[in-house]
Amino acid sequence: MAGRILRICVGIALCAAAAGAATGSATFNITGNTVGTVTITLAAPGFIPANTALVASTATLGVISKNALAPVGWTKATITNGWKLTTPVTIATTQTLTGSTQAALTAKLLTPQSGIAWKVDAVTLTTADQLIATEAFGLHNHDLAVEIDNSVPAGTLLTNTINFTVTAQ
Amino acid sequence: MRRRWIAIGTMLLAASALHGQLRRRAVSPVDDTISIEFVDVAAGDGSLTRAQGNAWLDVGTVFKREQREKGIRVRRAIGMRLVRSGGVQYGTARLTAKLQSWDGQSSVRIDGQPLTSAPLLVDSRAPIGPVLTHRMEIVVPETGKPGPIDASIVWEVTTDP
Repeated sequence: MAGRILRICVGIALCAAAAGAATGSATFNITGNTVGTVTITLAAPGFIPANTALVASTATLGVISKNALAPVGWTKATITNGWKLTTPVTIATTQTLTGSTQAALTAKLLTPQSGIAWKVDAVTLTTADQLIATEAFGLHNHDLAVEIDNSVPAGTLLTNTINFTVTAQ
Repeated sequence: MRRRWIAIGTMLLAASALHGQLRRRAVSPVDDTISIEFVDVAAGDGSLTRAQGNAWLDVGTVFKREQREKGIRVRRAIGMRLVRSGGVQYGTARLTAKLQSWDGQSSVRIDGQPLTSAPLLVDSRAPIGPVLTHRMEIVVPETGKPGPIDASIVWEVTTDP
């Protein structure tokens, strides 16, 4: 009997305690801004390291000649009034939050040299951005070529920088 | 028999006194108040402003930094204290969170759990007093469009009886 009453008393106490639960709240507000991004990487058998996707690639051709073997990763061909070296370039583009699926690929040459033409596909590069292609984001193959006129004297140093740019359309 | 009834009577009186004390505690506005105080535990990682118990976090301009990750992710630790009024901090409380509003594009996770407009149980026995830290993650899908991030999270705490 005493035990039962004690249990009732404890029950009353527990009920009273339950009624004492308190609540509180607070609001955490988050603000910010997202911006879209695009990326581009280049990879080619004629670049060093070969076939490695990088944002800044280098091609070291060494000593080249119309009558010698082409550098590793490059193919040689004869053209009207000259010859050329070509390497296939895999250009990978990605986008995030641009709201676009198409990208414009452009390229430009930093310092033109007389008798030497740099081309991407059929487009001759100049110091202004040249449109190479408008294509979907992803992997695309293009050819990078250097065309050397027969008039270029022996010992001419070929050194140049080509900037590729991808722009969401 | 008489002793037994005396014992029962004593217990009833004691229970009644305890009940009255707890009732007084229950109705007392001072003893019964619990609040949430946000604490800046990740200073320098976005600007946190606090006022009147609420907080505003500006994560600034965000974009995809990690190409291997899916979507744009902003991670930040949220610090908070559960505070009883009256000074003495003791016990545990049930902590929930829910989205009050959001921009419709980004999603918010707390400790890996996605937030919705329904309360999410973040901690069933959160200690009252010490600073608690929870992981918040804002995820913006890659397929979306650039624009504002805007979300409000309502945190609610209920003391354990």
